[in-house]
Amino acid sequence: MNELAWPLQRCSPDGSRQMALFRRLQKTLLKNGTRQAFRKSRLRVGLIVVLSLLIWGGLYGLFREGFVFLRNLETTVPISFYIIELLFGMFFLVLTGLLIFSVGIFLHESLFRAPETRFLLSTPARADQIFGYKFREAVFFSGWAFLLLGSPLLIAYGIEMRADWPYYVLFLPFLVGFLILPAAVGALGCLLIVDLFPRHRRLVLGLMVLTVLVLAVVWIVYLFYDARSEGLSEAWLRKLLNHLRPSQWWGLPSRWMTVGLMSAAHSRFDDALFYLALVWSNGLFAYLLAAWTSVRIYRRAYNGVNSTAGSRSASVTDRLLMALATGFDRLAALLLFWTDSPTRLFILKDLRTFRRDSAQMAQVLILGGILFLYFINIRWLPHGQYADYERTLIGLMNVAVIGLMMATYTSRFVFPLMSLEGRNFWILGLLPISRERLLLSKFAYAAAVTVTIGLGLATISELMLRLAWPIVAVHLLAVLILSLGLSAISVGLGTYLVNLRETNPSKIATGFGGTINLLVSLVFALAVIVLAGIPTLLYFADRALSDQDVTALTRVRWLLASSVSALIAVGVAAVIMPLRIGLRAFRRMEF
Amino acid sequence: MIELLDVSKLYGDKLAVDGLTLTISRGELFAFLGPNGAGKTTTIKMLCGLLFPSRGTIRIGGYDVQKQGDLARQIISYVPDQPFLYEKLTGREFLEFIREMYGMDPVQGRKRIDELIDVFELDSFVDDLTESYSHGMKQRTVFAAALLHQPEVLIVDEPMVGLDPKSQRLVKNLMRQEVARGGTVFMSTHLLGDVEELATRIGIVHRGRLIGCGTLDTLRKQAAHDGSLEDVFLRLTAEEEPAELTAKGAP
Repeated sequence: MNELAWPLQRCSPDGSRQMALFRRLQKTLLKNGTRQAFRKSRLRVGLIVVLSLLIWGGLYGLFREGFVFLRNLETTVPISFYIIELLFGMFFLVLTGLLIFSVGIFLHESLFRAPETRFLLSTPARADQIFGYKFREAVFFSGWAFLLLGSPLLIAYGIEMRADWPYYVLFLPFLVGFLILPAAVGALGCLLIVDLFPRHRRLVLGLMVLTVLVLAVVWIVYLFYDARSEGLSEAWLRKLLNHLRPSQWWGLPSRWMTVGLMSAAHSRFDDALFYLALVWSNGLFAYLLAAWTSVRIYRRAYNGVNSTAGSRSASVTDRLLMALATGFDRLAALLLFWTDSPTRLFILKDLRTFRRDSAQMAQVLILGGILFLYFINIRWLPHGQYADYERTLIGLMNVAVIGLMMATYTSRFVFPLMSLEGRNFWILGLLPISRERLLLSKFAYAAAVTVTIGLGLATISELMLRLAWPIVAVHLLAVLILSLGLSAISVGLGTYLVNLRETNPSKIATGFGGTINLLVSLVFALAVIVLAGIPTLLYFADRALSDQDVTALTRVRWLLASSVSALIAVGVAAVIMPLRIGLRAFRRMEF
Repeated sequence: MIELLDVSKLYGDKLAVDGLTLTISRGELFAFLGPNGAGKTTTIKMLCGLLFPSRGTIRIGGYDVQKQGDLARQIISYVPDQPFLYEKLTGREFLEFIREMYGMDPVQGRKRIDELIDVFELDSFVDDLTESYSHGMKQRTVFAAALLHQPEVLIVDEPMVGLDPKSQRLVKNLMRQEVARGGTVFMSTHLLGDVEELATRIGIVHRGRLIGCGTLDTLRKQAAHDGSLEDVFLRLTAEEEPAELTAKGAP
């Protein structure tokens, strides 16, 4: 060692060399991780691939049927092209919003809280290169679910439109290019918020998300409220579609995507390439702006975030929040009187961990608040103008909203529960509680929250819609099954696909396991919604039949009983199967 | 080599470091001592440029850490108390990453990697993913990475935690070698025996303020006590406690 000249020959690597170094690092990490996954857990990888293919196929079938429906609609209402244009516009607009926030939140954790960043910031790595490296990671994590959702949609569209082969070559660069712009906006927003409000950054972000969501809900309610006078007719549909026109504004990236992809499908490749260039150039410019900003403020923002903790004096608000939290814990302990002491302590530990994570808590409050706002607004619907059947359909739609929102909620918050035990996982093995009970306590914790919120919202909705009691019973049963099933799926798969090395819950939820869980949850939710719709329709068929038509009446009632039984059977299977899979994996785990 | 000029650091309204002025020369092994929460780790983070001082200036090798951070970090190595390694990289891949990060000549750098693998006895596991390493193995790998580019300033926070006696001896010898070559070592530790054995100068920080600085003899004089470093440390930090706390804590 002493033979070497000292100090060694070294030079500060420039930006492009550092970028190449970080790219190689990412490639090696991915290669090593994939190789290890194939070597150590082939079954899991196989399962993930098969499930992904099944889900991709399911989505493709769903989109294909949707386009066939629109084609058939064209014969009676010649507006299917217009509807597709609007749907594409809305789809990409909603995704723009989701990507902005998900990349922003992801980067907040990885740029300012992760041990890796602390390590990199102590090396000569340039701020913009660290930013670029974490940005690519954020786009990968937030974007691959988008590709899984977007590719079957666009392939189904291409096949339905009988698009030429260049369309299939172009749609992927469109999707990838589209990711960059919202991701860069999210990243820029994250840097600016953290730099300007290092202490209250989470509050600011929460308020921004809340504002956007409230505006979206108000807009949706307004759309339906304004179009109410027309009833469910072609005129109503046209009026509704007209209200959606702002989503087609030429300056929106969602519009560039819509026009570009539709042009490609109709073989207008000059237009398609123009819009593709527009998407990419704007995305890259936004990224450049974000990277330029990172050079100036990233290290300062990092210092700001890590210099806020440890304030000695708690404000009145802080003390009030602390008192509220303590009261909440005591109430939870009282409500868990039916559990034994170790299980209660375990559930309370999860509850405390959850409520102390302000990011997670804010997301739950926002999600819950929006749902509450939506359901409260149902009373503005002009009930007098809707027949029983239409109100029942609205009720069923509300069950669908609850189911889909709950699938998102359980995938985001329940799925990471087991993974978040992390490095202290061995403590679970030493606890004087059996593994069955540990798993069931996680399930009980998740189910208690989902059942309370789900049934609460569904009851408000059903009461406000003044539906017949058998319909109310079926809808509430469906929501109960959704709550229990989705909780079991997330707890079971969260244990089976556990990721003990990751500490960031967003990363766990948006990772491979989390996405598989989300897709399985969505498929289950859709199945329950469809099965809940059958008895709803049969109920009206039953009422329409006269008492004399005994054969038809018997058949309808038999079908009614069968569909409710099928609903219950799917629910029971959705609770038992994932929990068994999770438990089997949990028993095999070594601590 | 290391200069801290009237450095203070605030966390919200809490003063973590209070007017710290310190100069450490080339070829010194400076031990930084203090009770828990005294401001040692905050000072180290400011030295590395992870945190900025609320007041004052820090210079490493003549570079202002806040304004010329990239140049300053080029000559620094930092070994934190909880070292970071990429779990999906092998030890060798991690060392290669560090070699490139510091812009080392490939031939010279690879030769140096081989030497360090030999010195730290990493050869039996260096080609495995680091996620399978024990704490001691990780610590040895991190030390190898820190010494790879032969830094002019080595900053270490609790370097002996998790190391077996043989590895501890190895790390001590390497730190001595660094100093003998003209490098500067800034070490924060609670192991006072190691400090007595290694340090050329000792700084004692308490409640963010430097309450003593010098050789062991200087500190003994300041404490008016001719005992071990432990006795001197306890006496100096006790003097700084408010009267009622000292009374409560007195046996």
